Amino acid sequence: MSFRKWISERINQDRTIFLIYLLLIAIPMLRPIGLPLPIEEPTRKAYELLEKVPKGGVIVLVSDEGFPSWAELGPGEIAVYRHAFRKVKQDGCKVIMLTCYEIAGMILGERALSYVDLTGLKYGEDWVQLGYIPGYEAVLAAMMSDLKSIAPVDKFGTPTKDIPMLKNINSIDDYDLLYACTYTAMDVYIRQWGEKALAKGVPIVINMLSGTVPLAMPYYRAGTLTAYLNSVVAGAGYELLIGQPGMGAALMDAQSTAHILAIGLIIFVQGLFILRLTGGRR
Amino acid sequence: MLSLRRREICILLYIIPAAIILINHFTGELSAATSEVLLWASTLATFAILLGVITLFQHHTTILARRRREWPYSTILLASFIITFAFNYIYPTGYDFVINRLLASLQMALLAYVGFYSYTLFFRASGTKNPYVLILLLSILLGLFYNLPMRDVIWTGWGPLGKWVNDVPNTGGMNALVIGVGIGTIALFIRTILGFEESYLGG
Repeated sequence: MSFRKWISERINQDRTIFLIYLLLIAIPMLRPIGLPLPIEEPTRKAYELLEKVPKGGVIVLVSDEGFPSWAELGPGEIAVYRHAFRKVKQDGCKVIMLTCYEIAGMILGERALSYVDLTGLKYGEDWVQLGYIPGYEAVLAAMMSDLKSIAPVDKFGTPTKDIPMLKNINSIDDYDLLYACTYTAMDVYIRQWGEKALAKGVPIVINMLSGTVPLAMPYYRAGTLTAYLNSVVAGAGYELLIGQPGMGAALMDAQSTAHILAIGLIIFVQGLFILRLTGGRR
Repeated sequence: MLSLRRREICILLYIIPAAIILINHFTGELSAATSEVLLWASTLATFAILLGVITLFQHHTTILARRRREWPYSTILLASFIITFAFNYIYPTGYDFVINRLLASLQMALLAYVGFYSYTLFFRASGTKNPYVLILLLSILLGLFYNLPMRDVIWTGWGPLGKWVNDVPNTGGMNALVIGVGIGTIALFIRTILGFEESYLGG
């Protein structure tokens, strides 16, 4: 009898795994366990870079995530938005929001903004929402040299030349930090921003999915990508750094238990297989 | 009209903007022209969205008109499109509901569905004596431990070990990949400006 047949006769594997997985995710989300959480070095670096933006500095927030990625990228996005707008309040920094990949990014960027306390801030003077500008890489390239050319109006139809905050802001010479949240390949941002940002000493921070972190490593090691946020783990870490635990921290327990299930499944099945193999030879 | 569809004109439409951007990149000249070209790209992308909507309507209205087997799905798609589009302008609360409560939730659920199958995959792929699969399983285990938020409770070495794998073998491999992609892109660009590459012309 084959191993697979032997084990499948004993367990209705799919349904059992689905049920255990569901329970292991749902229970910690309903009743958080409070398992310890490591804060990775790139996350700390991203936090410090935002913290170091000088008084009156300009922070560009590009939201290019999609709905399916929100659970992974959302916690980091919300935490960065909270931090950026705290800088606006504390140090008079300016925030530019825009989206260039798909319209979902703009909707999710605004969802992140809904978590921010905007009391006392004035639209057009402290922050501006340029909305969705189609063109992706062309937009990323153009915003480095002439932002107003690709965004003649903001999301609400106001001409950008009439927005007081943007009077003296138009290119990489005026930005102090570039942040992007993406659920596709992150190298697009490095390709269009990297060289000019590096030359001007403007840091680039990218919030990305875990699956794309390996692609980011060459750029991070080379210094073109200054810091990155590795999915929900970094999001949870960033929440702790800004002292506002939220969705990320709540998801961490569920991620821990789900990972343990995956590790357990591999070790259990492989262990059983080896035991059966060695037992059969005796 | 036919002369506008000549292959040479299409290639020129590719070469001229590319040359402007390249010259600006290396010399710093032609920055105004480059801004203009990039603005065109954004404008063209807007028209591409419009073209997509028109094609979508053409395709699905044809299905409806011919009463093909999949007509109920086309009806749902067109109705969803029209309702969402109309809500955006006449009933913003309804639009927010459609986007944030329906679309976002459905798309998230669709991706979450994959998670369940990944877990049965861990179960199915294990139980092997194939050395290559065993190496893959070990890599998966290492990746899982490294990304496990409570990894330090199990063993404090998972962090440094995972970081080393990420920083050294992974970065080395990815460096080679990125350089390969870069060389490939240059080769493709040269082929395109010389007229050898025709796939973007529909050839």
